Amino acid sequence: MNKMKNFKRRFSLSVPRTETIEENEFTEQINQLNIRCNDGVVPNSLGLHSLQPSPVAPDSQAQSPTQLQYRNKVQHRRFSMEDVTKRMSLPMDIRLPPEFLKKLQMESPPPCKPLSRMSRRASLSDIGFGKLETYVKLGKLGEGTYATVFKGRSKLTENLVALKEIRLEHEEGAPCTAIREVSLLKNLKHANIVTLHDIIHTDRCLTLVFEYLDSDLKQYLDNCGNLMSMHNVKIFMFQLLRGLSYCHKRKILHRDLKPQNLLINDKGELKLADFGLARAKSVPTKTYSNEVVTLWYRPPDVLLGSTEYSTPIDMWGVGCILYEMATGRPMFPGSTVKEELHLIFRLMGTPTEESWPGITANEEFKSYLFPQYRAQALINHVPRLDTEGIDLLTALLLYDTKRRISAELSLRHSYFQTLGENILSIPDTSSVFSLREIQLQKDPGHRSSVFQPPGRGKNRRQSIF
Amino acid sequence: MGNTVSCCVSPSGSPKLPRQVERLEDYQNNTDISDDTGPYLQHISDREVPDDLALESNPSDHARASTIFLSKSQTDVRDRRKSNHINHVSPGLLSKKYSSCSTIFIDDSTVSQPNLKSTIKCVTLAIYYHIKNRDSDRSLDIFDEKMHPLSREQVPDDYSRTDPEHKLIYRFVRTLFSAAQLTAECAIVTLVYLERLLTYAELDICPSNWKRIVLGAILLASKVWDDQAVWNVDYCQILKDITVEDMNEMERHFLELLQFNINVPASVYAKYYFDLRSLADDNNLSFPLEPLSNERAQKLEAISRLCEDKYKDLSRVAMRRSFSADNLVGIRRSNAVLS
Repeated sequence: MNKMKNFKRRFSLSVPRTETIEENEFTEQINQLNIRCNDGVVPNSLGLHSLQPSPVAPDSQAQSPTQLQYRNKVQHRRFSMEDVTKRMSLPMDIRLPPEFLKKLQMESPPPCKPLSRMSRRASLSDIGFGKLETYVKLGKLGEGTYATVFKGRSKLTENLVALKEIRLEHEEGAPCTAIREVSLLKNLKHANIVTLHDIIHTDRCLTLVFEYLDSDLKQYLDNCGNLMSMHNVKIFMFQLLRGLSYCHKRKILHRDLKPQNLLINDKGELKLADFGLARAKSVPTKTYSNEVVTLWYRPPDVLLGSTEYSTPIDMWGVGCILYEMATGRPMFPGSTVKEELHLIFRLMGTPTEESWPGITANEEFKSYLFPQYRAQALINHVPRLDTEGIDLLTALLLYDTKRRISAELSLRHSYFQTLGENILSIPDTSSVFSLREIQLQKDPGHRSSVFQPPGRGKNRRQSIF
Repeated sequence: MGNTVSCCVSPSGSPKLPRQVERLEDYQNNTDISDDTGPYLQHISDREVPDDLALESNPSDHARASTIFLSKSQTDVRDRRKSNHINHVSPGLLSKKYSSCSTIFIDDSTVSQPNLKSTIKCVTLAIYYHIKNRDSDRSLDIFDEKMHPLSREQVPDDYSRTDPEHKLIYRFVRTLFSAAQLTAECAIVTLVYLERLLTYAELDICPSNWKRIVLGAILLASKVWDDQAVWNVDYCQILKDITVEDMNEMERHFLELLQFNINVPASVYAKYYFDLRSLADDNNLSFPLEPLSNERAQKLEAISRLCEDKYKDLSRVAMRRSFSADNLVGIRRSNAVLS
C-alpha cells in the first residue's frame, strides 16, 4: 500500500504540467487564495501581529538585504506555472501568493541564464519564505527555557508545521545552539530525521519551521501504558539507528538522544529531533564539553569527564532507549553523576582493565572508590527481549568505546533479520513503511480511544527543548 | 490519514491502523490514480541549492576548489619575483635559518594546533590581498562603515577609496582576538566564513566594508567554534562605541546571507591552513623557528610512534623489506603526551 502511494507520489511529480496563466485562471486563483487566507486567519492567543513591510519603503533594504528593487515594465507576458516552480525549486502544488504572481506578470521575461543567488533569495522572499506571516499558529505545543513550540500551518502548502520560536537574548544575539542546529539540519535530509522547512530570523526571535509530528517516544510509551509490542520496538529501533547512521556518516554527533527527542507521527515514522547540542567533528583535536547528553543517557566515559568522544557517545543512549522501550522504564535513572555511575556499574559490573582498558589509570574513576560489582545478566532485567535483542543491547552498552557497536553495524545485526533484507536498501528519503511488509502492530498496553482522557494537558509535548 | 483534520482530531492515536480502514484505503488507491500520498513538507535545502549553482566550485564549501585569497595573492608574488630577478636581489636569504646535522630548526605550528600570532598575520594578509585585488566594489549597506560606524571618531571622507595596509588589518584583528581570547582555529574559520560570504552574497571586500565584514566573520566563528560561546555584548566591551543592537543586526544579516551554512568540513579547514602556509612562504612571512630541543624531540618521537602503531597493519608488508633501528629490543620508548 505504501509502495503504491510512493509510486503515485513520484508519478504525479514527474508528470509535466503545462498550465498557462490565463486571465480567467489568474482571477480565479486570486479568489481562491483570498478564500483560503480568510479561512486561515485564526485569532492568536498571544496577540502577535505580523508586520507587512512595504517592498517600496526605503527601510526594506535594511530589513532584508536580499530584497531587490524590481523595475516595473508595462509588458504583459504569460508564464507557465512549471517554469516558476522549476526555476525556484519549489514543489508543484505550492500556492503562490497573488502579489507574487502579479509582479511576475509585470516583469520582463526572465533571461535564459540561471538565477543568481541574490535574485533567487529575493524571489523566495517575495513568495513568502522566511516570513512570519506565511505561517498561521494553531496552538502552543510546549515551552522551555529558551524556546516555545507552536503547531502551525503553512499558507503556501497547507501543510501542518511545528514552529520552534527561539527567543533571542538582547546581549547574546543568536544562540550558538540555534546556529548549530540550523546549520546541521539544513544538511540532513532523511526520512528518519525531522525536516527543516524554513527559517525566519527577526530581531526578537529565530523561528525554525519543522514538519509537524504529533507525538514523541516518551508520549508514545505513556499512551500504551509503557507496554509496547516487541515488534514495534524493533521497527522503532531500526528507524532510530537508520537516522543516526546517516548522521554519523557525516560525522555529526547528536549528543542528546532521549525519548523526548524522538518524534513519532501517526504512521509510526520515527524521526530524530533537537540538534541543539549536535556537533560536527570538523577537526579531531578540538576539545568538546563533557556536560552533554541528558544524564540518564550519558555514557560512562563522558560521565568520568572524557571530552575525546566521537560517534560512540550516541550509541550508549541508543542502548538505554532500547531498554526503555522493552521494559517501559528508564535504565539508569540517576539524579547525580555519581549516582548515575553507581547505577550503571551495579547492573553492568564495575569496569575492570579487561572490560575497559585504561580504566585503572582514570583518576576520576579511582577517586570515587566504587565497590566491585559483578555484571548481572541482562536477560533477567529485560525478559521480553529475545536473545538477539539482548545481544544487540549488550553491544550497545560496552564500556570500551572502540568496541561499542556502531549505528551502521547495528542495522545489520541479526536482531533486525525478521524485518527482511529490503529494508537495508531503501533510499534515504523513503520511509521504512514504504515497504509493504513493514507494519506496526497494536501495542498490548495501548488504551482504547474510548477511554482516552479528554484533558489537553496530556497531549502537551515537552520535546524539542 | 493524508489530510490535516485527522491529525487534529486524534493526535495521540495509535499509529496502527484498523484493518477496516486499511481495506478501504487499499480500494481507494487501486482506483484513484491521482490520489496524493499525503502532506509532503519540502526540505529547506531543496530551495537553496539550484542545479546550476551547485556545479560551481565554492572553495569554502568544497575541499578541491582552490582558495580565493591564494589566487588573488599570486599576481603580486609573480610581480615581486620578476622585480627581484631584474634587480638581482636575494630576498631575505641571509636571515634565513637552515637545519644542519647538529641543529634542526622547527616551528610550533601544526594543522591541528596552529600558532596564534602567525596565523593571524597570514589571515590578515589574505584579507589584505582580497581588498587589494578585488574585482569591483559590490557591497551592502549593513557593512558600510559610514552608515554603521564602529567608533565615534569621524569616518574620513575618503574611507571608501583608500586601501588599508596589512599592518592596519593585523592590528584590528589582533586586538579583537586578544581581548576575546580567541584561538588560532577561530582565525582560520573566520577566513572561511569571509570567503563564503563574498561568494554567497556576491560581494567584494573593499575599504568601505572590510572592518564590519571581518568583525561579523569573527563574531560568528567564535560562536560556532567554541563550546563556550562568546556573546555579542562582549564585543561591545572591546569596541567601546558599538551597540549590542548593531552587533545583533549585523549577525542576523551575516547568518541570512550565509544561509546559516556555518559547517566547516575538516578537509576545507586543512586546505585553508595549508594555503595560508603557502601564502606565508610566498610573502616571506616566516613562522618562528626554534632549535629542536630534547624535550620537543621526545614528544615528536612519541607521537610519531603512536601514529606508526595505528598503521602497523597497513605497512606490515613494507616493513619486512626494511629493518629499522627503531625495532631493536631494549630501547626505551617515550610515552606519548598528547597536548
